[in-house]
Amino acid sequence: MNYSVVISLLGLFWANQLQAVNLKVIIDNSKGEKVKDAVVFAAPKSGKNLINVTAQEKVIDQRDKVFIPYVSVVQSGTKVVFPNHDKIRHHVYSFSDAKQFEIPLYKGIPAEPILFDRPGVVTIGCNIHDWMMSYNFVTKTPYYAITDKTGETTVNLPAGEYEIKVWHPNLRGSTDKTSQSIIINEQSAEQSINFTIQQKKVWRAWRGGNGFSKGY
Amino acid sequence: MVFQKVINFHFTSFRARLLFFFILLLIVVEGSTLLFVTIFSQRSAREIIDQNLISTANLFTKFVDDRNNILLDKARLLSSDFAFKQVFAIREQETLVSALDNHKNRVRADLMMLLSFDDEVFADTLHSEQQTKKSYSLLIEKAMNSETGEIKSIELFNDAIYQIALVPLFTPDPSALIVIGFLMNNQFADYLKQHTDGTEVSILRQIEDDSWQVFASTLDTSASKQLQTVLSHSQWAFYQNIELSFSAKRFVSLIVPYTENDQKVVVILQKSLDKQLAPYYALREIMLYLFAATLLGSLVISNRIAGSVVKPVTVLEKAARHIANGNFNERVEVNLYDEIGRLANTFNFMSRGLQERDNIRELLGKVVSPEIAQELMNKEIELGGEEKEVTILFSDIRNFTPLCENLPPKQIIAILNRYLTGMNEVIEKNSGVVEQYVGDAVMALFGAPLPNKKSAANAIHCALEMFEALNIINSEFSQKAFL
Repeated sequence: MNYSVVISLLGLFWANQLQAVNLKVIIDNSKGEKVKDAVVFAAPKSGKNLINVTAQEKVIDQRDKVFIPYVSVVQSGTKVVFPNHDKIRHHVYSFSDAKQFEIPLYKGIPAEPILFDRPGVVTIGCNIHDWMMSYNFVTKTPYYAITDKTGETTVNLPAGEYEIKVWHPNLRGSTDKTSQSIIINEQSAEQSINFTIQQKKVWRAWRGGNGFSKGY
Repeated sequence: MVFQKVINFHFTSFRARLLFFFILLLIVVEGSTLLFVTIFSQRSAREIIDQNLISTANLFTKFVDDRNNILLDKARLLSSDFAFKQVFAIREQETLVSALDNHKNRVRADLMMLLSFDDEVFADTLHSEQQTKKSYSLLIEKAMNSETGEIKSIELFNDAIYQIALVPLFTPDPSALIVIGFLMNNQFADYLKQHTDGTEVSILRQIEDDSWQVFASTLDTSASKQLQTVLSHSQWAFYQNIELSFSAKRFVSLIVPYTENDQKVVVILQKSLDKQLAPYYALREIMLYLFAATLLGSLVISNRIAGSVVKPVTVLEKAARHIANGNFNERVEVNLYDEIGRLANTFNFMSRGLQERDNIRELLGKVVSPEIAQELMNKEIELGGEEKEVTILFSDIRNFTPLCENLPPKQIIAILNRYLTGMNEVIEKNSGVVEQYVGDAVMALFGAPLPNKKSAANAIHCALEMFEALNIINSEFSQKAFL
């Protein structure tokens, strides 16, 4: 890579940062409840502004036999590390179409991170702890965010026309049904958009204290 | 009314009367005992059966629940099996079926399937091509709407009913539905029967509105078919005991609903009423034998009792007939100390009394007329005499003393006898009583001892007749030249 290319890329990045506008996203469900852990991602209609972030690394931690965070989002090409901070071993795996992998029983930090190079939902579990589960949403666009418990989040977008979509573990139907177009006006200090999504029940394996407890 | 007629019926023999009432009493006592025993036995049998059937229904529900829990546990094991998750991820159907078969054998289930949420059969241990075309949308929808994705149901596969459970396969998110099932067959029904004190268990599926098909039963094939027919043509309600009769047996039946999804299934729990009543039947047989024996014994005993009563009574009756004929010397000899013995003693006492009275009457009749004698016999004698108005007639033969001086004593006595006899007849005819004879004089009473308001008239009339009688006597004496 020659320096001119690097400088031009940095210049583009800087230019985008200068023109970026905060898009406030509010998501609730059909019952009017705020939706936590919803992934919001914005795809530029022009196809521009997609930055390759292969150098980025994401962490999905394991503490007290729980994956943290429960929902994460990465741009395709991101490497994810699965450090185990428990005293016991974990056996992390995924059979998802977007990424199938297995890190057999281990403690500490695995030698190699896992590359998530295909867009889609990767459901991650632990072979010896049925209830351990995490969703990693892999998207092509670098413009994404996850809602907090108030059902809100902010995506920093350069000016332009975008298609905004939402994904959630409990989302009924495909993300395409949530799609909304928006034009980010560089003159605006902040813009906002609301989503109301349809949710379904998603069962999880129990973390029961005894045979009669349903755990979660 | 009938009893009154029986009471009023005239028996000609005491023996027949005694036997009749003895047997009647026996029949009433034995019959009413048998009736009460029958009523109470039948009521008790029904109550016991009703209770048993309710307990069995509860046990059946518990048993089915337990089997559901077992199925769920066995499916959960597979849902958490990492090797199986890997097999599922590969999506190689033959390997998937083989893995399901392996788990089915491992947990001794009868059926295992893997369904997609889109009603697609990933794998099926029944290996039925037809089954793959069957829709399970109802089951899947039910699972989708449940809290945990775990449901229980019953389903028809290859004309057999299975008790099934559905559990999500977590990889680690829900990726498919594991179906596991136990066959509900005769073995299942037999197991229930063994644990419910011999309750007959039949499981039927509704084919059409009024058409039922038995697919598991502890009854034999013939009885099962009859049960189908009886159920189709009988009025019944769930959890309501009814009596169904087939195969020459009476069954108290309790029908328990067991419907899941579109499968309308009932479980019929039955207890044989005849079997429950077996002790009663044995008791009834014993009672009938006892009745026959008691009847026979009663006949013999009552006959002997009747004989012991009738024999002295017959003797008494014969003696009484003799007495009625005037033979007061008749006595009976009964060596008994009971009422009959006392009756015989009283009879003898009575006959002695009658004899004495007859003697007195006879003696009295020689003095007074039979009527007066009878009246005197019947009248109570008052001590100290009594005061009453009477008419006394005195008569005397004129010149009797000179007559006696010229005639021999025998002739005098003959004349007196004839005279006094004639006078006595006239006096008695006029209700008088000769009080005394003093030589040729006669003193007669009228109005005593029996009161008579016409005593004076009678006495006058008697005196006049005495003259007439005397004329007749005198003419007799003249003819015989007595005088």
